[in-house]
Amino acid sequence: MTAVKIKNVNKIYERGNVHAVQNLNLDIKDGEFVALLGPSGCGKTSTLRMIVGLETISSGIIQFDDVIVNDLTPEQRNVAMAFESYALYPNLSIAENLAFPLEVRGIPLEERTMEVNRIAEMLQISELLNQRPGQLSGGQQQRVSLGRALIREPAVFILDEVLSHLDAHLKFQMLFELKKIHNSLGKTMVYVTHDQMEALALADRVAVMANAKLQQFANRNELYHRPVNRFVADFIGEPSTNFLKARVCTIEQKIVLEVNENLNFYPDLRRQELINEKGLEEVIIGVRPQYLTLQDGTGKESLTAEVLINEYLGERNILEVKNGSDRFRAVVPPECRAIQGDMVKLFYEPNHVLAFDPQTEVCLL
Amino acid sequence: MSLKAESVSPDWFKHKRADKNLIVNPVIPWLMIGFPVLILVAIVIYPTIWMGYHAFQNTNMMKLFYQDWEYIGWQNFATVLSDDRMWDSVGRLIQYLIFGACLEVLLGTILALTLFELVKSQLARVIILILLVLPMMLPPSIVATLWKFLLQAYNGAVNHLLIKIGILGPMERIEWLDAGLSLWSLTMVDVWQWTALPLLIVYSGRVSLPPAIYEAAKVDGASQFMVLRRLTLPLLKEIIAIAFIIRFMDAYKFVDKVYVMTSGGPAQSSELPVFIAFQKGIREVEIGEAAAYAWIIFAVAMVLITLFLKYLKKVLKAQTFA
Ligand SMILES: Nc1ncnc2c1ncn2[C@@H]1O[C@H](COP(=O)(O)OP(=O)(O)OP(=O)(O)O)[C@@H](O)[C@H]1O
Ligand SMILES: [Mg+2]
Repeated sequence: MTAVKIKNVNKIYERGNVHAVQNLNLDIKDGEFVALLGPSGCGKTSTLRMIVGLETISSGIIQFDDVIVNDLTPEQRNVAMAFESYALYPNLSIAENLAFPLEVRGIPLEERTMEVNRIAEMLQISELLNQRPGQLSGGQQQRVSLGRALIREPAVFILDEVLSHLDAHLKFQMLFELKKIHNSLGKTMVYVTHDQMEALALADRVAVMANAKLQQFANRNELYHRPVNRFVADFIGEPSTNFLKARVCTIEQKIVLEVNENLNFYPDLRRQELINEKGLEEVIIGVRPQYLTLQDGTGKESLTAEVLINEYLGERNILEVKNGSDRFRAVVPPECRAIQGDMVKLFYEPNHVLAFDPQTEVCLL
Repeated sequence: MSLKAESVSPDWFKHKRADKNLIVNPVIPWLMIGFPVLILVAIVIYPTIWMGYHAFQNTNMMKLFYQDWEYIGWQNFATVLSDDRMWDSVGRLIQYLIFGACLEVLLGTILALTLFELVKSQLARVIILILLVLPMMLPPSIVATLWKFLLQAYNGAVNHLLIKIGILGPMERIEWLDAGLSLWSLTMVDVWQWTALPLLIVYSGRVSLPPAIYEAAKVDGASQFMVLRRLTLPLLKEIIAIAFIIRFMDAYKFVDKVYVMTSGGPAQSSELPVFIAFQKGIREVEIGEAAAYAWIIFAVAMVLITLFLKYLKKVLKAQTFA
């Protein structure tokens, strides 16, 4: 049972002088499933390697419970890690690879074989047990690497992009298995991915990173509805948030955000206050395509736009629309038959209009 | 000749130098290939055929002089194979292979892995490697001469040193090059010179192993010994075998240091098969017998090399899968 505390951690690679992780603070609770989410090169793997103990910490502290682990070896920290590059032992068979963490702990052969069979079945690699890593596909190797991390019960599981090479169907099954393992073992897990679907599906809380810095560490609801800045609003959600530049006008003592002469957005009262407080003349509006709908309702505001593209995606359509020179997207039901050139009326709730400071790109919350 | 001069240069070449064609007289390529072939025929192929012929003749110096040798069938081979001198030397060759080649590979492997584990600075590694490789870059005859001096029973530096540090009493001497020790001394000198070769081979093999699997092993909690036994040695197995094959092939024809340091002596106590063939052919001019010797050595080498090549092929095949 281990809580992982990361305090003011920095990682600077001497070679190339890269500041890969800047002032990272993460407080991971005991038994929590945390996902590290961010674009390629943002420092996720570097963070993991510092937690595991494969990389020195340039400054700051990492604690497991109350113990500072900065100078402990991976073995002393008792972590299990699945590597982004698989790092399978090329001379050992798949079964031996999976059993290796048990073998080094002197667990007898029969028990090892049992555990290997259990894990292999779960990850659907039972037929591969006698092969060598070189004979496997990327996705198969990835599952072996995951299995090698999952076969024992460490204090913390560290999983680095372990599902990235799987097809959607298999990925879904593996997500389910991972969740099941986490529920039954109750161990702390840190899971790195650049796929927000995985992160949101699995994790209790998601740490969004960008440019070596932590942007936001929160549960999926927070991330979705109260992103701290434009990056998070953009990165979380599919399709991504619409951003529009708007001028702040006051009409009848109400603040209205004017995108162009035909397009106004009406934020809710609290955001009006915040904009007032800050004395902003311009803001960036963020509206999720999901919240621009064809359905009217009480308290909803509306806008009109011209359809550019109606993209059929099966369970939903994505409308690409424009108003003046401003383009944005809306998610509509698949029955929508609007075609290019049609005018549509779209509705939104004022509290779904996010506003960002144009200078700092911080969300006004 | 209908062959036009330009047609000798291939298309891609013409294409590269579109402006100016390379004009070559068609005779020149023939000359270029022909000259080396002639040399090869003169110094390898002709003597080999000549030797093959004389292995079945009773040629010796006199008979060669008067050109009146005669065919005696397999008698030369029978003489060689029934000669105790030959079988003794085979025994010594095996001793030399086991203690020379094996020791070199063993020491080289240990040194290479230790160097890799203990010395982390790239610069220090390179400097140490260069120092270790230095003996290998000296010509064997020079090394042999050098050690012949160092190993002199009186005035030799080695004995002097042993007396200085008290291992030997002031009046004691070790006769490094006498009958009992000469082959061991030769082996020791050879180890001194050639350990660096397997060291280099194994070291470069170790460098090219992926660091990620060592990190994985660390996280999995494997001890240093476990990593060595389960990962490093199995992964380097083929490379070590190749280092051994190279040293083995060299050891098989080991003659230079024997010639310089002991001339096979004293009392033929350090003779190896190749040296005997050399003695018979060049010193005693027993051409027929020496030729038979050479054929036997050649045949054994063929068998060994074929086995090695088979093994190498297997290794290469396995590695394309790994
Ligand atoms: N060993 C290293 N030496 C020097 N720079 C490094 C090293 N490892 C990583 N970096 C740099 O640190 C930055 C962060 O790398 P990191 O591997 O942590 O990214 P990541 O978030 O895991 O990306 P990805 O999603 O592509 O795996 C990158 O700019 C990278 O170039
Ligand atoms: Mg990474």
